[in-house]
Amino acid sequence: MKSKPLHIKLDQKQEELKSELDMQDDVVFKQIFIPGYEVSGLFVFVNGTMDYRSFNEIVLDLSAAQVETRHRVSIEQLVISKICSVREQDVETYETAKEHIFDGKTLLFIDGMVKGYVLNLVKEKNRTFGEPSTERVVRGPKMGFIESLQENIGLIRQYSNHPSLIVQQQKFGTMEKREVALIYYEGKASDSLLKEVNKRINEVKATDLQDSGMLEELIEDTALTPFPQIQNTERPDKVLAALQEGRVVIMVDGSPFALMAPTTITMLLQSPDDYYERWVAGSFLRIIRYLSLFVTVFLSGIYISLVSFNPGLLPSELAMTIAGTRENVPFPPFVEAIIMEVTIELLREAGIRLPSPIGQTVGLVGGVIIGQAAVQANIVSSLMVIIVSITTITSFTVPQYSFGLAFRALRFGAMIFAAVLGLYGTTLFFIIVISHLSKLTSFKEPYFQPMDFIGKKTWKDAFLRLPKRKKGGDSFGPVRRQNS
Amino acid sequence: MGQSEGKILSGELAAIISCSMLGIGMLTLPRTLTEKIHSTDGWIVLILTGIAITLLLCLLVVLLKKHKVADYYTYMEEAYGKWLSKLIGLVVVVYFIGVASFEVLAMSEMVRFYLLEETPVEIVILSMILASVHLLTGKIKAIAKACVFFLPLTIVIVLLIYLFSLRIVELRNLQPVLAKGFLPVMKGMGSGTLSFFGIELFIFLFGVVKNQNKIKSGVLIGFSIPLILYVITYVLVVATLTVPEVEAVTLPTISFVQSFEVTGIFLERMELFLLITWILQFFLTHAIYFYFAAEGMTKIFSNSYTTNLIVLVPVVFLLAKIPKDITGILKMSDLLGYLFPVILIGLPIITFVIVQLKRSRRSG
Amino acid sequence: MKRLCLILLIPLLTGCWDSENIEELSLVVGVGIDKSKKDDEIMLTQQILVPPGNSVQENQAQLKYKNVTVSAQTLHEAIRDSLLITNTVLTNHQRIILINEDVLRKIPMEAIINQSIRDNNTRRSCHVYLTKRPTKEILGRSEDGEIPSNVIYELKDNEHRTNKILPPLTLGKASSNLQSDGSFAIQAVDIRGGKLILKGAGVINNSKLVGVMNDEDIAALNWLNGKVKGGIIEAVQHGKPLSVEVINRTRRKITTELNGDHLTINIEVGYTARLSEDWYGKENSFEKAYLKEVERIAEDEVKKDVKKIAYKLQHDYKTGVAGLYRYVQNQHPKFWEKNKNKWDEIFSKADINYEVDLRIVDFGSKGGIK
Repeated sequence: MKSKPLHIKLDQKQEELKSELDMQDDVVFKQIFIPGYEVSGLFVFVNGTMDYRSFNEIVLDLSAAQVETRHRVSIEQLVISKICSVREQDVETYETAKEHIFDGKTLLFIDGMVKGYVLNLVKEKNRTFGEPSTERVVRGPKMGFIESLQENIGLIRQYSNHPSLIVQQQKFGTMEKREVALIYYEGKASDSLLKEVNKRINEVKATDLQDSGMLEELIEDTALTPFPQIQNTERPDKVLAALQEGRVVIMVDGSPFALMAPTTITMLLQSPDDYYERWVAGSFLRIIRYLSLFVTVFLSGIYISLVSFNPGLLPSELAMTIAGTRENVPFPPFVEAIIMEVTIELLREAGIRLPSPIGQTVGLVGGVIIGQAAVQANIVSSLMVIIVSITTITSFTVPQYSFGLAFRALRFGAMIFAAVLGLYGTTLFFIIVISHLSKLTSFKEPYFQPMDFIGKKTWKDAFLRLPKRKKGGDSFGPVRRQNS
Repeated sequence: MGQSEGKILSGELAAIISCSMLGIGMLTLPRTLTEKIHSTDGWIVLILTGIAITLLLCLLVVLLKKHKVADYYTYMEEAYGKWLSKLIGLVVVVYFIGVASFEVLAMSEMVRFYLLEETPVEIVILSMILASVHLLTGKIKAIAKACVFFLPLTIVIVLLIYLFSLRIVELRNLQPVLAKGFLPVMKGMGSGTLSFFGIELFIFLFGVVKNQNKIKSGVLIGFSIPLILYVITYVLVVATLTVPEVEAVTLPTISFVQSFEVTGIFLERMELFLLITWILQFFLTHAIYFYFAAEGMTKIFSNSYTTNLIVLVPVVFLLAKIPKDITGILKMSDLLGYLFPVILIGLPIITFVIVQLKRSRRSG
Repeated sequence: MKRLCLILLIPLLTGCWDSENIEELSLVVGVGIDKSKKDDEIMLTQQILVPPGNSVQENQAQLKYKNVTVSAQTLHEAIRDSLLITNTVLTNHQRIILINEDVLRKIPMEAIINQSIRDNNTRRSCHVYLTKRPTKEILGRSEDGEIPSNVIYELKDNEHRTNKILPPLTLGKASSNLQSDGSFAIQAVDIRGGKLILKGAGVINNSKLVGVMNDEDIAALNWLNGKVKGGIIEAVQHGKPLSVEVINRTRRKITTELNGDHLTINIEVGYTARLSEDWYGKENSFEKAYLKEVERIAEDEVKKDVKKIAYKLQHDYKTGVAGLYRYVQNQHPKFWEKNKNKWDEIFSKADINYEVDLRIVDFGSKGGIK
């Protein structure tokens, strides 16, 4: 569209704007008369985006203005002084005026003046800061991000006031313009990482984002993997820790989830309260988490391979028990396991979608009643129900929801391999998963780094969480990651 | 600085060497050793052989470092000229392919005997080869990580099994020490070479290690881990099964683990864990040799690495299908056993001498 | 890479060759080997577990096992023949092998356990027992539906309380022994009063049964090679019986001396013990001298028994069951190398000096003072 300069006359402006915004019923035109100067003004804004209280204040201020006889000020000076706190910039064309109107700003035109003033009276529609719902901790900050980018950045700035904390903002999208912020510590994040991140972000700048999850998919290394290669979090303390480690944080306006890159498996398995609790408890929980990861993926597979391929490896009494419980079950263990696992996954999915009180009921009904009924109907064996329950519980211990999802899906792979090749198949699947992880990268940094477990300096924080005996703060310099 | 750069740390070098050594050797070692010397002194043989190889390794590292070898194939080209070096390289590649096939074959035999009796061996072999191709697309860095992950796992599990076994071990069976004098021990020195397969690979890994100063320690650590495991295994197995019995059973280490049960915990049969960890080790040994074969072909024919990987799949598979029975397998291992010292000792030393002569002539 | 995964999946789709569900297998816990009525055939009895099942009538006493008996020329043939009667046999859980005396007299032991050792399923930790009665009868003897194999298997746990049981002979150990010098003792199982008991033992030499021992012999044999782990020494003092309970072994030293071809074996064992029963009304166990006296009496008792068994071994069985050959092998390897095949003869002629040192360290929670 051509950019038409604004008319001088207020009436003309109003007519022009009205004709252009014919369709838009929510655009409001409000006339005001300033008696002292005998001029009229015109406010234009979109209904609902504006904070009426501050609007009223300005209106009152303007209409009460008197002509000072001693130091006579022009109408322009008067208006500017009255609106200085909210004035953002001036517009001179209808085109930019329109843009600002839909950006949620309020426009003020004064009769006889060409330009219009853009007033920022935007009322942010936000939740209040609350406890993050996906990453709960027992001990530690109970604050989570909200949907407003500016508030979130403010939160980070509040805790980290070092000048080398860099926040770069850019606009994304074509239809919906969204702010995306890139946050890092200058000097800590490596140059190669920043270059890579900037390159990838610039490639996808034209996309409309509804959530940071969409951005995550666009900038990750490969899509052919169940594992998330970028960590996301709602917790400011996690973001701050990531920044300290020299990682880059990406936040999208409208999404309470911050993205952190690069990431590794060990990071995904750490919960912030590992560091807030005493180290013994922290280490213990970490070991439990690794163990439960293994159980989640492989327990059903091991059960299938032991029961239908190598029962000889079971202790005699256990073999007897299993044979007893399976006596009247018509299906092979694989089918049995698939039935139960799929049922549990369905219940879990249903429980998330339903309102929380009903969700709990569904979980209870599903878990207890279906399990019990299935055993009594001889569709599955009672041991299978136990095993499925265990794998379900263990899959919840992963602190990162998306990471836990990956392992839930992998479990079915392990079951198929076990059903075909028994214990050898299960081992083969283990090999394939580890091979896959070994090849995976996150922003060209290794994703899975077993060297961390035995490295001289890193082992203390990889598998366990041993106490740090460091006096004073970290030295400020590039963070050296093992093997990068 | 990332994954794609393909440099490995000295710790990873150690893990690769350890993993390439731990393979079929560990399961048959007690038998092959006692067969040769007919006494319980195999552990002395192992330690002496270990010391000898350690010295040799130190020498080789010094030699290779002196000539600043970054890539062994270009180094050979310097020594033998373009065509001869390609020919020698081809022999080396054939050796690598041979070991890769042998390991996967041995594994399939173990799986067939202990886990899957009816399943066609071809499926087991093929699935293993494809799984290793999957890993190998990640090149040396991915292999290094898999090794670093699986090696501690193997060590911990094996030592745990051994700990449980202590109840039935009768160390008295190991006496008398040196009953037949030193002679049989010296004679036995050559046997069990199969167990030391894998150490020769460090020659080809020389260029990719990040910290060149730590190569020696990496190689020696990588060598000593399997050696220690071998000695422990030999002592425990012979002490439990006694010499005549060890000579009689096919896979003495597995028979040893089968001779006891741990009551009271969820799984009382320990061979389950041994079999699983050994499938892992077979896989790694196989994958490492496979990698070096593909890598070597890339250097010789200067074509794409991925193509070589795919071309090698049927080659390795068919080669593993050639031996029809146990004797065929043993013949194959003997054949490879002859090539092993040539590649470990002969080739590097001759190459060194020739390059040394050429370089001194050029400068002088 | 994706294509690669797909290729990998293709063979997987073709089927599960080895899949065999646990409830469709016959879990064998015990095996008995008898002589068949037909000549040169052996009779194999397999004890198979019957899963309890979630049957509705739980009150009904259900037999937890069933026995399957077949005859064939070789063991493996017999196992395969049993498949005509029952589900696929799984021998991984096999705990015991019972061998009838008659079989052992005719067929070398090495041949009998050959199949089990070669088999990849049967475990080397499975125990071997001898029976006087047909094994079929023993495996059929059940009380309250208990599984006979398990009953026998668990009896060996009493090793620490009595010295009348031989240390369990596992299949692996039997095989090693047969490969080495081929002579060892094997625990026997019998039925007394309708119950399964461990009673007596057989002596195997060169894969053949050469004799049987009674419980006292077993105890004495255990004393001889210092394998006693517990149990009671009965002795008489002042005309009244007393018993001394063995607590722990403190020392065992076995030395062998060679004088030409003549062998002398010196065995010294030391034990701590407890005076656990004393019928003598005038006991004075707080007095050191009294305890010393008891020690001496008990020691004499042991020595007497040992002397008897040593004589028996040397003259009746003419074989070194006690595993003493290992000491000769260790201490005189050259001599052993030369005379390996004459060991029985050498042993029969050897002098055995036995010293036992008992130390009574306590006398329970009550002691007499008079």
